[in-house]
Amino acid sequence: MKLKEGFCTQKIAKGQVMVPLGNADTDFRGIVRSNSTAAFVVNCLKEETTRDEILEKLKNTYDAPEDVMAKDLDEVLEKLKSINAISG
Amino acid sequence: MTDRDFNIELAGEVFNIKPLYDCAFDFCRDYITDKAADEEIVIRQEDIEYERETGEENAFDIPEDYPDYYLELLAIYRKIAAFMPERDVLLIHGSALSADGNGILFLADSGVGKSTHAAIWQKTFGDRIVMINDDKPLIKIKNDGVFIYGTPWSGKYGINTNVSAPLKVMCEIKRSGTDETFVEDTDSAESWRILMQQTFKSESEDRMARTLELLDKLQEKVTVKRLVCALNDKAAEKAYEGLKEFI
Repeated sequence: MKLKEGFCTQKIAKGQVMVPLGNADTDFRGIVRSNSTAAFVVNCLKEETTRDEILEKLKNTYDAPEDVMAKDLDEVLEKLKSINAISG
Repeated sequence: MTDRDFNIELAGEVFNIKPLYDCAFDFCRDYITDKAADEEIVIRQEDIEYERETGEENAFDIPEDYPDYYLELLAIYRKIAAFMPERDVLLIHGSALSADGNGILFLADSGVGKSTHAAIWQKTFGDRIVMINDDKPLIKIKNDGVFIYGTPWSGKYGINTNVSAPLKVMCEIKRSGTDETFVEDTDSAESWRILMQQTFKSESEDRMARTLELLDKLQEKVTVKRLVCALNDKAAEKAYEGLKEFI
């Protein structure tokens, strides 16, 4: 899976924001605000990857129980799918 | 160079405008400058057609039968707005005024009552109010503060003044549905939503990223409040009361 073309991300003081550009293949026209974990996931998705690969990277970066990270990851992926931001 | 070209200064930035119609010069008259331009804005027929075709989908809401000379004005501002993020300037949809020299920006979708509310301030406070721009002002984020600027693109009544003011507060306007007017806080999520809805969005990823960066800085420096207001004579006094810690 991968973040679709046409989504613009920007680091901000408290995390990251993401918006679709005019050419993005989505009806979503709002803004996604991400905390550091969600921003990490979004940034992983800038290249073709899998859920398990992202989870592995999270485990190597953050010091938290795996089941908590897996739950957070699934929530972020669910949110991104709901706005049609992921392909594959 | 064409015989129609002229330079205008907006938010301290100078543009050389090369329009197809004479109307553009008259429209920009108060903002003409002798200063040297940093960028050229060249209008072609295809830019006018773009405004006609995309009018309903973008920030400029226009009927199909508007004449070319009018659509050209929109095309000029769209091109100018595209250059602005890299100069620390945002184009925002709202009604801006200064009260005793303090800039206030009212934000809302069209039809909610921004202009009506701003007009009540003018009626209530008279000479203390300067109408900066009633529809599409520019905001410049500088190291020493945030400033709001008049531009000729100022909505159906053409209310604008070629001035700037330090921007002290931004207010989302909501109609109260009663006779009451009061000010509420917004949280960070609401503040982002409000500003994103009303900010000119670039087609280019780099410029959009810069726009988001500027919106973040803007919210760090200037508070977004919610002004729940009645459209009655007392609305401006009550709003002023709720906002006076900023102005």
